[in-house]
Amino acid sequence: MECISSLNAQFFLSLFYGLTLGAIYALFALGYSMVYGVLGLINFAHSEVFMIGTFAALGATVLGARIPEAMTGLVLTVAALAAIVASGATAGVLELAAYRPLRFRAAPRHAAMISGLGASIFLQEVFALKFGRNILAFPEIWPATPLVTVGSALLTNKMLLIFLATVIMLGAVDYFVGRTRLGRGIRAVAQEPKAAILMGVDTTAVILVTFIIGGLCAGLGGFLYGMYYSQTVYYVGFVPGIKAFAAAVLGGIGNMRGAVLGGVVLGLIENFGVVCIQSQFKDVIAFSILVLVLLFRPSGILGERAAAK
Amino acid sequence: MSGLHRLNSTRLENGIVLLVGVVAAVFGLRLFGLGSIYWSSVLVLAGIYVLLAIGLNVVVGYAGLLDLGYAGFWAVGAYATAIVTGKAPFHPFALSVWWAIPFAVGATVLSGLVLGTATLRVRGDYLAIVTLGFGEIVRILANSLDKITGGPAGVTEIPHPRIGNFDFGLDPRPYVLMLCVIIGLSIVTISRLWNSRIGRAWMATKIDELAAETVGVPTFRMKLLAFATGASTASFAGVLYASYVGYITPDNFVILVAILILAAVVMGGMGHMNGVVLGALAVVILPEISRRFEQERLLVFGGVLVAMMILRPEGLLPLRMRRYDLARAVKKAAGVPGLPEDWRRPSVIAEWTNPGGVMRQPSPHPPILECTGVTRRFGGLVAVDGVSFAITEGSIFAVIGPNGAGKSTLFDLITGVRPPHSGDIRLEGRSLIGMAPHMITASGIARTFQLVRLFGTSSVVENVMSGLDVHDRCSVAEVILRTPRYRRTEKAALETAWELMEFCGISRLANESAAGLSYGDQRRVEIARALATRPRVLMLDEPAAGMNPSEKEGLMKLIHAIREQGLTVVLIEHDMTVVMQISDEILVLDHGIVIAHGRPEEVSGNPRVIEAYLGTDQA
Repeated sequence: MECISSLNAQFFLSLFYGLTLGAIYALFALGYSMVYGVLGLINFAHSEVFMIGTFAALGATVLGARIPEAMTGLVLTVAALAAIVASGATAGVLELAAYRPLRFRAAPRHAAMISGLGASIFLQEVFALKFGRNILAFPEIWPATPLVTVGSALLTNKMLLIFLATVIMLGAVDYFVGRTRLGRGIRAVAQEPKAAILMGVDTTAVILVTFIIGGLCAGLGGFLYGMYYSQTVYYVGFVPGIKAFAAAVLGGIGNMRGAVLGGVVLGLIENFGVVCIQSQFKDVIAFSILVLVLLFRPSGILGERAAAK
Repeated sequence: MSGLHRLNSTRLENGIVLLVGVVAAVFGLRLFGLGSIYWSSVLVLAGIYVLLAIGLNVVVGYAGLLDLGYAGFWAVGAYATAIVTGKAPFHPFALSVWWAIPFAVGATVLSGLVLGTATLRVRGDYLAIVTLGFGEIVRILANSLDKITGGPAGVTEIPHPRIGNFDFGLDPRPYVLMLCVIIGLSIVTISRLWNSRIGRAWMATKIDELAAETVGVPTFRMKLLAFATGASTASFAGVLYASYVGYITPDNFVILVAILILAAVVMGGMGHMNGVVLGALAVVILPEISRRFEQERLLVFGGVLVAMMILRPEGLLPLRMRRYDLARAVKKAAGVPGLPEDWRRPSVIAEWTNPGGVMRQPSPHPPILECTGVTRRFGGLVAVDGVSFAITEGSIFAVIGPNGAGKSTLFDLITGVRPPHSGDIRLEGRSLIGMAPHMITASGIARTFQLVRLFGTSSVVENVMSGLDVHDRCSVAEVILRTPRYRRTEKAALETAWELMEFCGISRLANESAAGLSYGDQRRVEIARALATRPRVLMLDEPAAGMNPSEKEGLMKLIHAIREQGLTVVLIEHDMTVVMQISDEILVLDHGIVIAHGRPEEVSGNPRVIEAYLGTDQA
């Protein structure tokens, strides 16, 4: 088949693209998965947490474009930090404004989803009204340059940055959740919220921290997305958000390592799949995977750690 | 009007039809020189949103399914119109707009059924995101399949409807009239569905899916029906929109449209017809009143969704509990109401246990319920391990054992809530393995739960009626048309429900909300609801738990009375006085294994039973 031969020729190209995109999905998916782990709900506004990360990165790069080229590294670092902080803060505010009041009122289950959806629209519109509805380009302060050539595929400096930054961030999160006191609280709440309260875990604080960590990761994802595609727009989080959620479900929602694995696998499937299907149907792949996983293995690859409803 | 028995909402919904008609006549038809063409065109758009919101309300408000891809059905309806009228690049034929209606309805209902079959089995909270994806896929397909849909440029010159020589043209007024007719019909149809066994089943599914299954509601089919009803309503909106504007592109059907419709439903009050209509009007007309608002309307509606969920999660006009006019049922039912302690009263139960008044002879040979080697594991734990027993018809059979012995799991296996890993369960010789809980209920096993699971926001009578509906044979069409057979069935259901409530001593609470009752009364309602499914075997999971001595006394009387009607009663109970007094046979489980089985006096002296309950000296 034609598809197989082109798959062969484009193997490394698809691999690099797949891993790049997969890394961003992984960072993005972590927030869905962690929040689902502790609260058992889908944070619909998480895509806007990501979007705000891209806008913070855009803002920092626009300001940094005036700084001499020698300082590019500094500008990139500042942009990354800006994105991480902005997204983390957004996620925290979301929890405080759109979710916590509902929990305190013991609102019905659908209420949290609709509230999250409302917050999502609200944030999108704030940015649409402030920055317009057109796609905004990043100033090109750090052009993509190939580092290594494998077959016909180029590994660029941007790809390398994405891989490194993702690994560092995931390592930090893994350490935090696995080794610290608050991290233990997160795991405790995810496993058994009522018992966690009885054991003296401050669940309210734990939930807030969980939102913020998810936000920090999505912020880094937003920065990397902005760097890689050099553009953003107020609805930038929507399609990647559905995919990141698909990745979280694919890996096993509530399971943090599963979210990362799901992100990488989804990135690879999409980029290898697109060799054989017309590229405009690329988005259909992730959605089909989501439906198939939900139907045939709802606990995902690694098994979910979600609290039962 | 309908023979039954509704005190609220039906009349109000009829009122709304009238209101929509009058308002639309004044503005849309420029009677008395009021209104303008501009406002008429706003009214067309408002009408389309009203139609969409009414349809989405069935899915979200009645059946409790958060569908975010609803605009996708609208798009399917609109594109079907473009194709049938021969204006799309793909057009096997070119017919008039009227012909587009059946095609559009068919196409949307089909896509609703396909989407529903694929997604309605997933957990509720995933449904939202899957349907969100569906809406997006429809848009991507419309954008990409140029040869069928015309791609991003869309389809133009879709013809307007014609009646004889009269072309509707671009004048909005005939469309307003047409919309009024369609909205009116939709409200009547949907209202009739809601005020029937279908509405009760939707309500039950929405509140507690598992409990709904065990009272015989085929929850998956009911959810599909809600999806199809919503989809067909959206198709009308699609046809009207395409034929009025004459021009559609994929961008007409973006996700934000779905959000606006959802906002209309949520603001108005999920499930409340009038609220939903008002919500839809607000979504369209407010931006027209303030131009500034038009820019920011999504911002505002996004904020409104959050604020509504925090302040008033059930909407401005919440769904009200349905009340039934019980006077007729009381008049019809035999005996004098208000004597709940009179167990001896001739009961409807006898009609199905002893048809023709002849007491069914308990057949000694085949047991009514038989388990052989039933096993269920949870990970490494074997909760029920090779359990075998047989129950004689007409007996009271108790299952006892220490906590964690596997008693409730055994109930779950028999009623199909969980499948056993091995073994066989037979009701009158027919295997129940592989049957869904609602099918097992229909074939004659009813149950209650250890922690009472009533449909809390429904009334007591409605809880009981939801159990009766399992044997209702009326089709959806009969429900909508309110055929004589349907009316008879519904009337009989109410009368039977009344007798059952009398029998269980809860008729005085008929129109109370089930969640507000005392614990003992809730137990009785649950038993009445289980009896309503006309079981041969009634399974009670710890019916006496949490009851005071006099309530227990009443409960034992009730159980005896149920058995006297010819039913077999299986119960799990910890209260040994209750167990020893009423049981004919006792099965003792410990760690999933049968350790004793026999008559009460045999079991109470069994050393293994004493050991399981009290431990041994050697320990």
